[in-house]
Amino acid sequence: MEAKDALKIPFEATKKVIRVTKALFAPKATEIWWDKGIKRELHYRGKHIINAELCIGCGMCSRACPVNCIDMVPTGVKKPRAVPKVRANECMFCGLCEDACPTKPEKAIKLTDHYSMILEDVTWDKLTEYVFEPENLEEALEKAKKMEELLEKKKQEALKKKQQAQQAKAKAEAKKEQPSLEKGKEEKPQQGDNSQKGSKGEE
Amino acid sequence: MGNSISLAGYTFVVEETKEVSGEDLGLLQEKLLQLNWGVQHPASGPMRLKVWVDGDEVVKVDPDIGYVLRLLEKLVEYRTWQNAIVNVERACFIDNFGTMTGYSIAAEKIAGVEVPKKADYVRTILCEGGRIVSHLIGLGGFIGVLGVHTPMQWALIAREKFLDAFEVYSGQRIATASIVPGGVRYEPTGKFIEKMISAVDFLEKEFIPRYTEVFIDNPTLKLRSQGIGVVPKEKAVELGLAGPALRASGVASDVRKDYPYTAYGELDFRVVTKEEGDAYARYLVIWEELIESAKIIRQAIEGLPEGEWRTKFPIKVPPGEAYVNVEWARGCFGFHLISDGGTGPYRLKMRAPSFANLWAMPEMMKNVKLADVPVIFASLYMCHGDIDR
Repeated sequence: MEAKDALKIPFEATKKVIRVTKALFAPKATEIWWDKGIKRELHYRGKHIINAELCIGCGMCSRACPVNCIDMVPTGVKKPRAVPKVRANECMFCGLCEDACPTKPEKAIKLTDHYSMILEDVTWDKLTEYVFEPENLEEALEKAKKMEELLEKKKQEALKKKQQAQQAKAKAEAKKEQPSLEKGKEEKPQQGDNSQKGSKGEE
Repeated sequence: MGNSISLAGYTFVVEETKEVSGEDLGLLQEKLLQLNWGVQHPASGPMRLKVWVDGDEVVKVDPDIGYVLRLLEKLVEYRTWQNAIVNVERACFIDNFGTMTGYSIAAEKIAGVEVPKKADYVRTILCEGGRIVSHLIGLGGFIGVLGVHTPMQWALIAREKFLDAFEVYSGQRIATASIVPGGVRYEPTGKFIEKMISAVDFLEKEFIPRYTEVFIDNPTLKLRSQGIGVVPKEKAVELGLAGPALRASGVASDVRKDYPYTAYGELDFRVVTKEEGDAYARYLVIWEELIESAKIIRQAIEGLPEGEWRTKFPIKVPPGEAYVNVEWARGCFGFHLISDGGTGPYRLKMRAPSFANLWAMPEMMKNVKLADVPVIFASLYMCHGDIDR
């Protein structure tokens, strides 16, 4: 045991020397910690991240919040009718909004491990203005608008097809009326064909 | 005596005529002196004791509370079933798991929801962790009022390890909001179990031997606390003491053993009792419960079953009532929860152990020396957040 201890002495001595020299040349006694990027442990409940692309605008997070600090801001598009906005000054970081979010498999509102929320020249106005907003809101809105346009186009196409089909039907019926007077037995199969066309147009 | 609320209506009637009227007035001016022990006293916390002294002897004590009233019971009525836990846990956030467990069990009783077994075990681990954290502060605080602040620092070092474990589990160190109706909110990961075991290891291998050596069989401590604030067995029951204070008088009352909830029925532990009933006995009960809790955590971690940790809890709960008792760190905590079929509790009444202990205190403080007031006060192991709610 003694021999081992003797071996340890130089190591520890050098360690101490290094520590002391570092402390001698360090500029300050205190360290600035907030830009060091310290990783917090699993499940840390810090700054919110809101994904507007995943959000469906159901408002469950707003209802689950015990301090009512989540507002649903209307977006103007249909798919996420409103997106959450967290008033950070009032938030208590309980994480119940994350639990309530129904999107699967990834939640639209999440608490990350970012804990540095520093405001300079803090006044009450600045604190009340400090909010967590969805990060990719504009992209999501553009996507949603494109989707809406696409849907409208499809709808209009469908409407056109329907109208064409109706016109074709009307023409076909007008044609059929003349032969039907001559041959009453062939009516039924022809009508069936027309109805099938119509149903396709609707789709 | 103090303030009283007349039953008819909500008018407050203040009766303070007794102390300064009639023949007593002269006596009061000549002999008795009223001292304000608190709000600024380092040992009292946010509360005031009106202490009347005759020389060095205490004649009468009247607690004046209400400095940390937060209307928690009323606030719960504005919450949903799930997020009411954030108000319940703030009754006293030193041991916040006990209160959350009690509320959750009451809500589950009304809704008829059965919790998975894993959730029960995790609740047990967390509750005992909370008890250890609370008892550590209780031990440090008791010797702190005697004027020695080293044990508080030692206790805080051991407490820190448990808070780290809670942070790994839930993401916060103190206000964890981790137990909800229907189970527990997070999965007990391997890292959490590791941290918990390392915290218990530190407690058992480093803190307990070192603390036993210095602050348990300490002659100075015994001089100050033995034979002070003695409560016999019958009187303890009559006064309605709760928790460690009741067990120090020889009454083996423990909700964990008498009416087992969560996983306590399947675990092996003993109820710590002492016969003396003085301040030193209360201190020892807290100390031995700490050791017992560490054993319970080890058992619960070994028996942790596989499976789900949370079931679905309905948004609307059928009308009904439930009364649930849990053994909180400071004693038996009662929850009377009423549902009217809505999305949140209709009414929640919390029966707090510290409040019961507080009103037993004036009886115990008759004819003691003024220097013993802080000792008796700290030995009753009260929390101010819990007294006022």
